[in-house]
Amino acid sequence: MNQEIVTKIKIARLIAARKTGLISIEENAELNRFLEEEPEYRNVFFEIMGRENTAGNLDVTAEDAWLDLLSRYPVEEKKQVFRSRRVILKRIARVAAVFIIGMLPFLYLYKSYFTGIERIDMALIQPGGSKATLTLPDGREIALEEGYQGEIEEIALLEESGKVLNYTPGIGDKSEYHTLTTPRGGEYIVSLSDGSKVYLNAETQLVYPVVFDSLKREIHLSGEAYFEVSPESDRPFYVVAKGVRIRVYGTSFNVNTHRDDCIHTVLVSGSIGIRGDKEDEETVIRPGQLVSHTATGELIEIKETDVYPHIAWRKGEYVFERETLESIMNSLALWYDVNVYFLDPEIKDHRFTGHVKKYENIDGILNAMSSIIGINFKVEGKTIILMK
Amino acid sequence: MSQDKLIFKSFYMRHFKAVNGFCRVFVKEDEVALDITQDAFFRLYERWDASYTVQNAQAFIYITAKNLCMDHLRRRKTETMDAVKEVLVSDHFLLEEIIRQEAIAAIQQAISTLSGRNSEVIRLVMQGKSNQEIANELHISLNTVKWIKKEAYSRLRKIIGNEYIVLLLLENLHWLLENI
Repeated sequence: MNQEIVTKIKIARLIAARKTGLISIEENAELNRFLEEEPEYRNVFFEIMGRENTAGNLDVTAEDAWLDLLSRYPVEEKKQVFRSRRVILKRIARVAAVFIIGMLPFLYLYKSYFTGIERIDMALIQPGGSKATLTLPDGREIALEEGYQGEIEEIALLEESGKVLNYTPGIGDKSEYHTLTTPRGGEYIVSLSDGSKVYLNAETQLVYPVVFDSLKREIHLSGEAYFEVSPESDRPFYVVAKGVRIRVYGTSFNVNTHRDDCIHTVLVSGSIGIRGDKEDEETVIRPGQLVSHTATGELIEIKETDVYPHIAWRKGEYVFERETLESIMNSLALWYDVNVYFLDPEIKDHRFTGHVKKYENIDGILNAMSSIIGINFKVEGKTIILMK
Repeated sequence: MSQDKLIFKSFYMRHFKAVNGFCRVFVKEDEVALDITQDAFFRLYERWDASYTVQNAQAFIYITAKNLCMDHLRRRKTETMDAVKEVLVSDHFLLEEIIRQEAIAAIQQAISTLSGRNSEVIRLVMQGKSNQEIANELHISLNTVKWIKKEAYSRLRKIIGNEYIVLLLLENLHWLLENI
């Protein structure tokens, strides 16, 4: 992205030079070459060339703005001072933001021309909700659904109108394992016998003992889950996900095995150690780091990341930070329980930034995407077909 | 004033309008867009040092501005409950907007650095008029038109190119002499 921004600023200058008639022959050739190679930018080129009014509508001059900047921020002082003033400014901005209401009531879309989108039947496609299946040691399956409350086998309770499965500490058999499975379009929360909480995203399976033994706590995960682990210094907590073993020292973090057949672990707070099956040593992770392993437990990378997009699903939204359309649709397919088919595979690589509410219908999101980059979509039953 | 700060100021002057216009695409309230623009530039200033290239700065300012706008929209969404449902922008949209804003800002700057008859000539060039037509319209000779275009061209080079410090020196010479 960085290099692309620099290139596009250069192109903008060439367009300006062309528009003012002051472009050199070499520059003109460069601009033509660009428009040839990246035809998707021809529209903006022709728009600028055709513009009658280039005065812009910005009333603030750069000079005034510079003085404004100097008055707001101590640009000439030492850096320590900046922080506090910036906090004040942020507060002011926040207060200002509170007063700004009632704008743009529906979709917040840029260049939202909804032309050409047929009305489609979305009846079959609904956002997910709280639902899961609990499998007992004897193979019996209990459907956990929203609205239902009660006791399960005298060892667990369904709480918060059926959204949380809560194990009573100390009651039950250590050798018994329960399996909690969310389907596509489901999510569920379980509070384990030690008080640790696990939030399961769609199509996720968690296997855990009804009561943890006295030496260690160990659970198995496939899919995506967010963990809030109760700290216990003498009884470590392990999460085993495909080829990765995570040692937890009391903390919150997100583990996802859905993407690219890899295991992605993001630490929100506290400290964890991760060891892939192919690694000799445990790597200790800091908050804000994302660690990726292959399914067989080879370390791919450790990098700093913005934590929020990874855990936003728990807060009722999906946040995407320069994610490909393919990856976005994979997340949505799990949550809305749909199949996605790309008629034109090249559109898979379009990248998006933004956020969508996950308890809304999917057509808002599809309309938003189609209006931005001219992608069309068709819905047939539970299949979404995306095309140019 | 240190040289770093001079270059920063030059960078600011060059990109302020474009970045502010970019923010206004996302954040419709002018005041908030200005706050975000200034905040983004200040964050850039905090990391500005001699090793920082203009290319680094260009990428940083737009990515920061975009992130601040997104944060603002997300925050406002929770404050106003369901006022805003979703925000999604593609990379292509961001880059196209950068081209649009930067090109318009460069054109504006080019014209504003010219005065009187010179800017008249360029205005007519932009309307697609030929040298002869411009000469006729402004009642000047064909050679004068060519000369003005040549003058304007050398002026514009400094806008089109990345010669930040040169432009700054030209524009702030009197100010520099007073402050050194």
